[in-house]
Amino acid sequence: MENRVIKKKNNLPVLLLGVMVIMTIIGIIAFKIAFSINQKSDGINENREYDKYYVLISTDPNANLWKNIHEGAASCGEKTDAFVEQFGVFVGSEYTALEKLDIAISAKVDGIIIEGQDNDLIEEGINKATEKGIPVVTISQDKAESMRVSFVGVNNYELGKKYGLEIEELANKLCAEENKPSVNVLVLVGESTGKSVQNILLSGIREELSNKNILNDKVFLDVSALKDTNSFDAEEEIRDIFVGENEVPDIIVCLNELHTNCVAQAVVDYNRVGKTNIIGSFASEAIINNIDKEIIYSTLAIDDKQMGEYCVTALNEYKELGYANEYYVVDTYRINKENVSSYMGGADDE
Amino acid sequence: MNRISKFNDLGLQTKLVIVYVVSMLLILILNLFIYGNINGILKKFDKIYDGNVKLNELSESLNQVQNNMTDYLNTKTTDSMDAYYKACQDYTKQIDNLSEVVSSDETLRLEKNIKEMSLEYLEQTNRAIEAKRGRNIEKYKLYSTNAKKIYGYILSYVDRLNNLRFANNSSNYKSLSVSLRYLEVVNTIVFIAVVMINIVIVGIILGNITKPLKSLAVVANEVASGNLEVEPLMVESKDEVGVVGSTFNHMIVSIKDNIEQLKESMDNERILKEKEFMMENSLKDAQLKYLQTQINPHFLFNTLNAGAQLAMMEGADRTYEYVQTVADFFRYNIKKNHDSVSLKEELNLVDNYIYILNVRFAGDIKYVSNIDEGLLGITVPSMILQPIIENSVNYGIRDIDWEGVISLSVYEKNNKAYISIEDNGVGISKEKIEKIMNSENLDDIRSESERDSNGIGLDNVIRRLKLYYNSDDVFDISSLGKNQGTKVLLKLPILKEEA
Repeated sequence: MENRVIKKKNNLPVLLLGVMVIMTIIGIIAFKIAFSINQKSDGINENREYDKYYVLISTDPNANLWKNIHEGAASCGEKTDAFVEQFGVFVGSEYTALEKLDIAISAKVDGIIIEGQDNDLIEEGINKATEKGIPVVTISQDKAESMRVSFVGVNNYELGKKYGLEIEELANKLCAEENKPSVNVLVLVGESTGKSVQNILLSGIREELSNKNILNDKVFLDVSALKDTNSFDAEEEIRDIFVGENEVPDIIVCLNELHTNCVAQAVVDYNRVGKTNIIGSFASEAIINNIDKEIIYSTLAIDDKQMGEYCVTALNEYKELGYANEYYVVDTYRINKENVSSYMGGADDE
Repeated sequence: MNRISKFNDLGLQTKLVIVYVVSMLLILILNLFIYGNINGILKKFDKIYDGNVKLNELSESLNQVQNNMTDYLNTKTTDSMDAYYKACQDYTKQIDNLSEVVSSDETLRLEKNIKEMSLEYLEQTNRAIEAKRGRNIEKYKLYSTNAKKIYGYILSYVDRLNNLRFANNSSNYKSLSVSLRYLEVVNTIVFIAVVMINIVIVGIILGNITKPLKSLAVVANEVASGNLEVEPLMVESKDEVGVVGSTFNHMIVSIKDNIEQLKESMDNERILKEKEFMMENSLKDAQLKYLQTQINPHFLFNTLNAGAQLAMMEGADRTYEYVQTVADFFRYNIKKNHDSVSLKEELNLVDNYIYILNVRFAGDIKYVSNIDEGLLGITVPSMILQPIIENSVNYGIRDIDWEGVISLSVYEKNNKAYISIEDNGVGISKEKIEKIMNSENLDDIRSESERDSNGIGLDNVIRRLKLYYNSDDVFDISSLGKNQGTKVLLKLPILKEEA
C-alpha cells in the first residue's frame, strides 16, 4: 500500500504536465469555439449567392400583406436560385414607387414585381424596363395596357361576390335576431387602391346582393373612400363615422388590413361590439383574435404567400421560356367564428 | 505507465529541464496563439475602417464626375472636359472594386446596385457631354437630368451602404471586443493554471529529492550508532538521489560482510591459539608423566621418610633432619592439583632447597632473606622460585672463588608483590638475558648439569608467569657485568588465596 502511494506521488509530475498541456489545448479550443460562435451570431459569414435578382416594389412595404407576399416570393426564389428583395425599404417614403422602379431599372435587376397603380407613369416605367430587357410582373392591381409580362392577383369581381355573400349572411342574421326590416352597410375603400379595382369589387358586391334581391330592400349599401396611406388619417375618418351625425351602420365592410384594424378598435372604443358588425380583409393575428372575440364577424383573406410565389414563378418562366402566363389567380379564403380556431396561433403562416 | 517510469528514471537536472521546457513551450504557444488572434482581429478592424474610407472616396469621385459634367455643360471649356474624363476614369476604377454578385448580404447587393447604377450614370453623363459637344440642347438636357436623377439614387445608396457598414462594423467591433475579452479570460486562466501546476510539480520534485535524503539521514544515524540491522532504504527513482540511496544500501551490506569476515578470522586465530596452548600443556603433561615414570616420587618420598625415621631411632638427629627436608622437598613436587600455592609455601620450598644444598655442599651458600610478612598469603604459581634459586646456584655461584650469597627479598610496590633473587656470582651476558627474556628454546644454552636438575627451567617459569598473570611485565633479569652477580626480579600482581 505504502509502495503504491509513493509510486503514485512519483507519477504526479507527469500527470500534472499532461494536465497542463491538456488545459492549454482546451483553453485554445474553448476560445476558438467561443470566437466562432460569437462570429456566427453576428452573421458575418452567412452569405448565399444567387443567380437572379428580383425586386418587389410596393406602395407600403411595411404592411403585413406585403411582408407576407415578399416572404412567399423569397421562399420560392430560394428554391429557384433567385433573390427577391423588398425594394428600397431603407429609403422608405423618400422615393415613390415610380422612382423605385426607375432605380431598379438603373440597377439592371433581373426582374421586377410591382403593384399596379392608377398612374400612367408606372405604365411608362414598366414599358421602359421591358425595353431594357427587364421583365415586369404586376401584382394586386393590373396594368394590362403596359408591356408587363404577367399579372398576379385575385379576381376582384369574384372577391366582390364573396363579400356580397358575407353581407347577405350577416344581414339575414341581424334582421332575424333584432327583428329589423333592413340593415345599413358601409363599404370602406382606400384612396390609394386603384379605382378600377374598387369598382370591380363593388360591382361584384352589388351584383351578388342584386341577385339575391336584397339590395336596397334588406340591405342599404353605402361606400366611403378613406385615406389609407397611414393609420392617422384613416383612424380620424373612421372615428367620424362613429361620432358623426349620421347613424352608425350595422355592417362595415373593410377592404384592407388597416381599415379592418381601425374599425375594430373603434367598435371597441365606442362600445359598439355586437351593434356594428365588421366584415374585414386580411388575416393578421390581431384580426384573427378579434374574430375569436366576436368583434369582427368575418374576414376575407388573400393567400398572400401564394401571391408572392406566383410572381417569382412568372418571372422564372419568362426568363426560361421568353413568355409567361398572362394571369395568375390567387386563392382567397374566409375566416369566421366557426373556423377561427384553426387559424389561431399561426395566422401569418396560412 | 512505461513512459511515467521512464520519467522517474531521469536525472534531477533533466526532470527540472523537462518541466521548465514544457511550461515555457506552453506559454510560448499560448502567446503565439494570442498574438495570432490579436493580429487577425486588428486586421479585421483595419478592413472595417478601410471599407468606410473607400466608400467616402467613391462618393467623392462621384461628386467630381457630377461637378465636372455640370461645369462642362455650363462652360464647355476644354479644362472642365479633361477634368470630367479624369474624374470618370477615377470613378470607373473605384467602382471596379465593388461586388457584382447577387448576395443575401445586403451590403454586397448594395455594392452591385451602386455599380450598375454608376455604369448607367456614366453612360448618361457621357451622352450628355456628347450631346453638348454636338450642340444638341434638347438631348443634353434630357441626359443630364437623367444623370442627375441617377446621381441622387447612387448617393442615397452609398449613404445606405455607409450606414449599413457602420452598423455592421459596430456589431463587428462588439464581437471583436468580446473575442478579445475571451482571449484575455482564456489567457489568464491558462497562465495561472500553468504557473500553479508548475509550482506544484517543482514542489513534488523537490519533495522527491529531500524526502529520500531525510530517510537516508535517519538510517545513516542508526548505522552510526552501531545498528547495522536496519531496513534497506526504499529506492523508487533512478536519479541522483536514487543512486545515493542504492549506494548507501550497498555500503551497509559491505560493512556487514566485512565485520562478519573479521569476526570469523578472529575466531579462527583464537581457536588456533587455544590449540597451541593445549599442545604445550599436553607436552608438559607428557614431560611430567615421563619424569614420574622415571622416579616414582611416592616411592622416593616414602623411602626417604623411612630413612628419616631410621635416623631418628639411631639418634642421628642431623641425618634425620636432612632426610626429612629432602622428603618434604619431593613431597612439594608431587602435590597434585596445586597449580597455585601461597607465597609462604614457595618460600618454604626455597628454604628446604637451600638447606639441602648447604648439606650437600658443606654450607658453601649463604642465604639471606628479607620478607614482608604481609605478602606471605598471596597466591602465586607453584614452582617459580626454586628453579630461579637453582639457576643462581648452578650458573651464578657454583664455580666462584669467593663466598656465594643468595639474597631473596619480598616487598610490595605499586600494588604488586616484588620478589627479588640476587646472587653475587659470575653474572650473565646481555645476549643471554635477551634470549631468556624472549623465552627462546634454551636447550642450546643449557648445560648438562641443568638437565640433571628438576627439569623445570627458567623458560618454563617465565612462560607460566606470563600466562598466569596474562602480562609480559612480570619477569626481569639483570646483571651489572661479569662477576658482578645476577638479579632476577618478579613483579607479581597481588592475588589473595581464596579459601
